Amino acid sequence: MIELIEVGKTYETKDGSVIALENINLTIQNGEIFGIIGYSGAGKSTLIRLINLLERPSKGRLIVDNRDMLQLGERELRDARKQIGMIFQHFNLLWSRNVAQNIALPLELAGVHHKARDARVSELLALVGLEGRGKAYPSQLSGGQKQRVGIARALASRPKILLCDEATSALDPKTTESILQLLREINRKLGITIVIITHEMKVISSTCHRVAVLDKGIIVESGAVSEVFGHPKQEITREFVGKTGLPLEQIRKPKHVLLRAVFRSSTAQRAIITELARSEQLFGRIVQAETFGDDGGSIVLETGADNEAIQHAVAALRAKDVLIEVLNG
Amino acid sequence: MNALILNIDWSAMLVSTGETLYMTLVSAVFTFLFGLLLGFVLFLTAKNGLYENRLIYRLTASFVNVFRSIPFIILIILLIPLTVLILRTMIGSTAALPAIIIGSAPFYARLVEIGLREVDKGVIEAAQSMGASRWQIVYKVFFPEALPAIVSGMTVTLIALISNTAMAGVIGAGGLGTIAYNEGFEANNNGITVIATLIILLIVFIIQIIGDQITRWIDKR
Repeated sequence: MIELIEVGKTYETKDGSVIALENINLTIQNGEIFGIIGYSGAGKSTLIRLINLLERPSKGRLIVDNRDMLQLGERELRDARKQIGMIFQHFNLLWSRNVAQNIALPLELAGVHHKARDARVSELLALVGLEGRGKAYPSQLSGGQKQRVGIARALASRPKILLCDEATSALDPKTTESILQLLREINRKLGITIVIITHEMKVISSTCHRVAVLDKGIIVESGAVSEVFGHPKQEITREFVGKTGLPLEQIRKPKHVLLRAVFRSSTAQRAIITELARSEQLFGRIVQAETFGDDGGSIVLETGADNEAIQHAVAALRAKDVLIEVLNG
Repeated sequence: MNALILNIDWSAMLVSTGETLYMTLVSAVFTFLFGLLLGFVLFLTAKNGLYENRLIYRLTASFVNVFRSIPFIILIILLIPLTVLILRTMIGSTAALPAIIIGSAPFYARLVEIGLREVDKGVIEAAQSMGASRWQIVYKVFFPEALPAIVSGMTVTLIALISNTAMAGVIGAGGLGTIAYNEGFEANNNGITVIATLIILLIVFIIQIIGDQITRWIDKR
């Protein structure tokens, strides 16, 4: 478990102090994929670097796996870092080492015997789908392959936590999806806690369980992905939601009523489809649809139904754990 | 041309070439070691360096700057007392070594420092995130990642160093510089000067080719 308690970070510059993060309270549970979304300059990079203390907070407390990180000595901190893997936007591989040697680096640093190292490296190459590429150098790999090496390297010392610093921002959409798929797989197979920072809504909605929205150094909203994006309370969250499907302005000028139904389970998903099938009048057309996490998602419907029929459907769906709202009522 | 070549004492030329190679080789080894050490100290103790230390940085930087600025011919004269103290002589190839090394190492140190500064900061951050100690970062990351710059810097330094051995020759260090000056210029035998020059050029070319080859071989970027 990762806990940040009233954490703040201030940089001292020539022109005075700059507040990068203020009053951050965050709890990340074991085994979850937690996303932090924000525009550049919001303080995301600083926030993720606080977790392994690449940046030291100016105030507050940081607890990782019941260890008070700010109380650790240099050697203890290095040991704690071996439990926290990290991957980067620009991969940060050593070009002087080949793929296998890059993956072996954390093991070398930990003094693992070379035979055990080789065995672990081939295991990791298989895990990230790079069998047979161990002898290649980073300069011979594509961006997606480089990030796979980064992931293998980060997992080498069997950490409990994986930090992803804009890990897909330098990749094209297709490669992004394959890397996210790998991260989801690792999370499922190894039960590793993953923290992702990104400015891309798609990354959060396809991969994260919970999310925090960071704006100008402050967490303005957080919770389950379906909750936060299903019922955005802050303007900035709405902007991120609007970035997936059609621009919201376009949807907001319809002829009829717009309904947004948000579901967080497959049961709720089925309830929506049942309700739509039952009431022919209710179904108009689907304006927008997307999925969050494993079973969550939302559908925006344009419906020509009268008020009474809508109220009836809304009540029925709410009873089945579907969050529903009229967007232009 | 025939007359020129006939007038040359080839065995003396061979001895001189040997002396030049001896001075080059020995001073190259020490220049490499001292320069590498100084370069790392400069880089690591600088502001925001891994071992930031103002006093050591200032001292090293002053030493490097001073000895890099003194013209070599003056440096030899200035270092005569030191040379006599260490080697008990001020004449001969060995006596030229301290001046050549002290003249070249600071130059090489700056090249090493520049090479280290080129190492990607992100890679250092990655190593830190793996729990690497400072010393591990130095020898597992900085050294191998800067190696092409360290090698190509040594090639550049070696060529400057050979010109210094020739200059040292004028004040009695022996080698191709001495033979070109004493036998060639003073005895008005231009053939010797020309041949000595050609041999020096040949040595420089060979070093350049080998250096470039090694750099290309280790540079996996």
